[in-house]
Amino acid sequence: MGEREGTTHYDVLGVAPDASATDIRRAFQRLTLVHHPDRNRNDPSAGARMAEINAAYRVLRDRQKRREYDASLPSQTRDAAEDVADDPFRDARTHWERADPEQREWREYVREVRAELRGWADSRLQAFVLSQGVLVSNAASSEERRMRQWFVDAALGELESRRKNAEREHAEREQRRQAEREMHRRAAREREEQARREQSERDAAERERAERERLRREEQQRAEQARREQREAPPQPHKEAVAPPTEKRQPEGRDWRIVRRLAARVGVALVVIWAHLIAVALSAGTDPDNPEFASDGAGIAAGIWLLCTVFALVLATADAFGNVTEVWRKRSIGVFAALVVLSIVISAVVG
Amino acid sequence: MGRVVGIDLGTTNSSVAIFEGGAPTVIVNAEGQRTTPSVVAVNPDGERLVGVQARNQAILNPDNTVSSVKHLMGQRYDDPKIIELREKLPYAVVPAANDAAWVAMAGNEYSPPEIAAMILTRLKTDAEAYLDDEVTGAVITVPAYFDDGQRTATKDAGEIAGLQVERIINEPTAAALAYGHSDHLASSATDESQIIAVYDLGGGTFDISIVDVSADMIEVLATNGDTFLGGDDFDELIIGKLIEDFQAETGVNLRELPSAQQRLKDGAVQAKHDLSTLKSATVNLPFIAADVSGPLNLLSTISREDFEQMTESLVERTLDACTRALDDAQLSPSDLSRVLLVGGQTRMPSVQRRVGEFFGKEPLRGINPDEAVALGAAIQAAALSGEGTQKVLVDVTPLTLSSEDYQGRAIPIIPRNTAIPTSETSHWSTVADFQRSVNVNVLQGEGDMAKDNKLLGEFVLEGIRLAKKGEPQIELTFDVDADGILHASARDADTGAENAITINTGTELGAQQIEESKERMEEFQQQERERREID
Repeated sequence: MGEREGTTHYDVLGVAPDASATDIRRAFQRLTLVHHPDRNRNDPSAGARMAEINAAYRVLRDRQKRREYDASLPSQTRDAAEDVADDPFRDARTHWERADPEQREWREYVREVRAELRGWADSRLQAFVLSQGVLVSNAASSEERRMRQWFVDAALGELESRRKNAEREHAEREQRRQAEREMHRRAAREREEQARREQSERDAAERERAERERLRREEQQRAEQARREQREAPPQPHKEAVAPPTEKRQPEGRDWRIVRRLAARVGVALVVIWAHLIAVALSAGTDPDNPEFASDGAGIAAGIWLLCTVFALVLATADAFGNVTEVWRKRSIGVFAALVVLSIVISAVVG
Repeated sequence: MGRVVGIDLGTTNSSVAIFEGGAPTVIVNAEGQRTTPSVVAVNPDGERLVGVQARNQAILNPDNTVSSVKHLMGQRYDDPKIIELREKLPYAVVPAANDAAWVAMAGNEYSPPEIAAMILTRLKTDAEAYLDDEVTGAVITVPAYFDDGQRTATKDAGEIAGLQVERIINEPTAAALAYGHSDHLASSATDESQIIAVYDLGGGTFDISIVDVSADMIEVLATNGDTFLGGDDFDELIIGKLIEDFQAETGVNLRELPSAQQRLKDGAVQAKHDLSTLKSATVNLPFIAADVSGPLNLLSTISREDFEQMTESLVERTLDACTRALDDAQLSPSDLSRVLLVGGQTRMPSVQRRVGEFFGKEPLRGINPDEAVALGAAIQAAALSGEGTQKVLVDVTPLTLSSEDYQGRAIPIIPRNTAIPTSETSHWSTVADFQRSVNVNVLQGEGDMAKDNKLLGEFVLEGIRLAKKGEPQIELTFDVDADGILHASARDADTGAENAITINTGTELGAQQIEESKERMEEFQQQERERREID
């Protein structure tokens, strides 16, 4: 069980943290006589209390264990333990202290002297140690010697703790500085990293933009060229239907432009085809609206024309959606041309 | 309210004392003796006998005469020490339902506490006759090196005997109390405390305690010992020699002759006693065996020198324990002011000499080694009843109390020689993810591995918080009370699930068994009373 929170082994035994081995033993004996279960037969809590006393004494009687225990104590706890409001052991402790007023006065005195010494400058403490050291050897009584020795020890303890504090602070400062430096270095590294990342991102964006620009320019050039070709050599209406500007399908192709192109091509194809059909029919001397129109040659020619129309429509549609490869385009142009020639030949023969 | 007595429940002899008129006194039994043999028997008529009567008929009735029952207290039937002991005992040791070692007498089986209770009852009756007052309570002593199960068994024995066991105390500590109370202290020291060694070599057990005796307090600093080392072992060596010599002479092996065992034992004890004062002793056992040529007599002479040589290793073992105790107390022999000898076996001159040499000082003999323990128990009884101002006793745990970890190691929780009462909490956790329960094995002993220690008990803590391994906080608390008996409890700090046990060694008696034994005891007392009236 060790100790309860806020209660040190010293508190349990009711002795000062610098009590001598004899004092500790005496305190243990005194408490044992009061709290041992054998002396408190009707008090069931006596066992637990005695266990606490035993635990404290076990540590404090052994020089090695006591040193380790002292080292484990937060330095201020020893003085501040008194101030812990919710200390469950407070009552017991005050009870014990009341049982020994001398002990209590001594502890208070010890604390006062400590506080006093804490306010002194190092040089004054050192001088005090020297002067008291002389007085120790010249002390009139053992009582006085003990007292002076204690003063010397307290002053030395104070100096020692200051030195340790200074050392610790120095170490801490050093550590902090180190940590800061480290932090700065890390921050700088991170900034660099960030900059590099941003730069590469920018480069990538730049490259993409350039690419897009290039594609756009190419398209423009192609369109320009197509327009120029259109202007210089008005294409064959049939060809126009099946050989639109050779645009590879583009990811953004399926928009209104397709519809417009489709409508335009289908319209052109239909106009050309019907105009031609009418011309052929007229040259054959037959009115296409006339039921007798269905003479042999004209009938065949009309059938071929119908085929051509369907074919042209399919091709125009497919091309408008960009699903026609270059090879197929060429082949279909060939087929279309053959059909046109055939129809002209047939109408000429029939005519 | 009745009286509280002090009882030294020994392996071979027991005695009872009372604190009266500012001093402890040993109570004389019905036969006029200051000690009562720790022997119980059932004779062919079905009568139960205790003490001298039981011992006197042991030769005729070896199967149904139980002696040295203290060795069986709180032990398992299959314990290696018990297996070894079973060979030597003339009566039958049987396994009980819970694997405890019980004894069989005249067709009935008895638990060792029940046999011990018969002895206690006898002592109680003697004390009541002496005091002409009712005896209701007792302080009973046990060897300091007794483990938890053995202490609990002793407590059960007191309960069966109808005694309120006020406290179980250690024999060497009791001896120190008696010493502290005697005039030696008053004359030799005033206020200063002195550190003494109590060397207690009894009939069946050995203890060494280093004790600080001051005006108000007896504080045990360290203790060590061996619960299977005592006068019986010295006897056994003489018996062995007698048997060996006899076989060399006649070719008859007395070991195989049950009827000869008790006579050999008696002869050996007699020779041992003689050798304490004489240079040589003669053992004469006529008609011990027979062969074709007729009856054979055993006549053998043992010199003190031979005996001392034979027992050298036993004494050596006690001194090893002394070294360990001094190490634990962080003292050297020169720090001690006195060495107190307790127990009948310390009457042997070579023991006194060797102990004197070891501690570098003449052992103290002013106090009767047979009675010191009972006297100390009586002083403690008075202290507990508030009679006068007695010294306060601060004793220690003789053996390390530990718990087994998942790798089978024994993790110490309360180290040996810790002042009692004491309470220690250790923190444990789970070894598997989402483990719901843990097995807690409570061990006593100095071995590093769990299997090398005595398993005092085991229990399961259920309802642990569901968590990754190592996360739950399990608090294991060991409480050792002023009797030196352990109470263990485990608790999950997060869920508050808790499980506590008073250690159950598996050898101890249930409440029901104690009741049954009590009833049998009543019967037995009734029987005895009737017999006395006839006498």
